[in-house]
Amino acid sequence: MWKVSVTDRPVFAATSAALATVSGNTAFAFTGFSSTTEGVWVSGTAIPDPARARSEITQSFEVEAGKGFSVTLDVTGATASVVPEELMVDLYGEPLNLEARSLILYGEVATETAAVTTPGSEVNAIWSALPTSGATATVYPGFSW
Amino acid sequence: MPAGADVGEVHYAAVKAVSASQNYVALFECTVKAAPVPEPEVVEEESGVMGAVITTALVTAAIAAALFFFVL
Repeated sequence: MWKVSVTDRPVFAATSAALATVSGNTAFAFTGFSSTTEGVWVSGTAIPDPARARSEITQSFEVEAGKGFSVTLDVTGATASVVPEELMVDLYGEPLNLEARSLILYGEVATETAAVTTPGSEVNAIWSALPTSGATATVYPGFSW
Repeated sequence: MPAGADVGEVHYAAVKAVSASQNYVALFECTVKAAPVPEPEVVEEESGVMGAVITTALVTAAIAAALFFFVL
């Protein structure tokens, strides 16, 4: 298994169109890194620090408790991943999210390797990160919380 | 968003990406808002049918009385 979780999340999807989302989902569908409607990503040749991004928030919005939001990045050749919680800190090194109140990843687009059922050489199906070769027209990064 | 989150609670999520040798980070700031208050149920008049019966009876009586005095 690629990821181990204490919950049954995330739900993986083999195509971006099948990304599992929470009811009442607010979708942010990026087709580039700068959009007047979806927001602007912080860029740099080095990996931008999320703390720096805090002063340049891509999207600030409201959601009802129990509902969620999703982000897809439909840019050919692009790869993406969720920033780990331990890197989600402010300029003073303090966590952005309240302790034990971080968002749980609900759905993610991933690569499925089918199970092998040949007797004697059985292999379980596995999910893994999207290939580093980048996104295609139907399979591109997508995450929901 | 946690089902038990309080209104006004702020949560953050971030995604990093690589495209054309350029690195990107997007930060999402999500604030919990109050659920819309359901509209109050419309209470139907319980005496709707009874009222119609009484009104009909009164109108009929009035017409009958008018005809009675007209004939006399």
